Amino acid sequence: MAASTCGSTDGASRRFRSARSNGMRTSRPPGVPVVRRPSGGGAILHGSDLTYAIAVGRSHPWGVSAQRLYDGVHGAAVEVLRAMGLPAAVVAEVDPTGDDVGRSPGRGAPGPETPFLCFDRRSPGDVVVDGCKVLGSAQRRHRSAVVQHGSLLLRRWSALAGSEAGSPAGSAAAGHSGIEDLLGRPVEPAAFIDAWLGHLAASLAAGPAAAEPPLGPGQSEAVEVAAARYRSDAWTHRR
Amino acid sequence: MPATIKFAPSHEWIRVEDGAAAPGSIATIGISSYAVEALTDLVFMQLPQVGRSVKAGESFGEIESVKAVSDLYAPVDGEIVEVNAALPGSLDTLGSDPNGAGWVAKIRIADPRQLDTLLDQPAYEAVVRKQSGGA
Repeated sequence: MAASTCGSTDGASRRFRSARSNGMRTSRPPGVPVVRRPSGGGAILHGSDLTYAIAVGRSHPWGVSAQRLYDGVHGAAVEVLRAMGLPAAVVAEVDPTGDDVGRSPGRGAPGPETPFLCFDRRSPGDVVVDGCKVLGSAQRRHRSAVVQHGSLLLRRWSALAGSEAGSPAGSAAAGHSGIEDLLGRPVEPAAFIDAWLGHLAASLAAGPAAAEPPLGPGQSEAVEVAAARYRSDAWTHRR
Repeated sequence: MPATIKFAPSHEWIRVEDGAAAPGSIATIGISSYAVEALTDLVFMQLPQVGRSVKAGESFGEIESVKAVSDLYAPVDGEIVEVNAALPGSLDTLGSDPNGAGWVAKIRIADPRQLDTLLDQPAYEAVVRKQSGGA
């Protein structure tokens, strides 16, 4: 988990193309670098959030279905938020006719009315506080393993000093309340992470342990290959 | 001979329409109804390129729901000879008719013996029950 630096990430699908066709790409705040995630979901403007990633094997009890992993990770976050005094809840169902759902009903791809930003969307499993989405996640499910990553909104997004904030996406992100805005006081990311890990460990009946696992033969090279792939413009602008 | 449907543990199905497979036979590939239901609301699908050669277990496409992206894996070696080009624009078909109109691609099978390594319907249903937390 890490408090993020300023930038933006976008979901894996052709959102980038649909974003372009909607004119949304140009709505991105100028000077903000963009990367494309291998998972799904809407775009996130980073800089005022806490990001995390978790990987489990497909045979792990939390790896067998998308919802199990969401429930485990988001449920632990809800416990932390409630202990802080926030009335956090997990979205159970979404009205498919609503404006703020993550898809266009009956359509094969996100429509022009699909919100561009992750925190403008609602889908089952999202964590909300008083109707404000504060935690969203997405998964990439491979044959043998699943990676889930997400973003916890700490505070309203603001552009880096000296850069331009004026853009539709920047303005929208600036309107999303984070947990500090909702609490009315600062939150120490490290303390949140510790509490979150504690609840995750309790759910898994395991103890957290900091470790740098040694890479096996060929894995260092695989990491380099993957890093080069995901860094490239060809990946970011594919499809 | 009736068509026989087989399943990969990664939830793709494959069906040889004329029953007995031989090298060069054409088979249809799709996604099981269990997998479609587990994926929930689908938003995007990337089909393989026609003419592409694939190996069993190789990712040949992607399917994305509102919260997850999953790879599609080739159940056998072969060459993709046709894709259901209408499917990405009507993903609801995957839910309403996953074994029929929701087919994904057709493949020219390189080695029909690989079909024997896949799961038949009862064996696949047992896998699904286990993954669902059943007996």
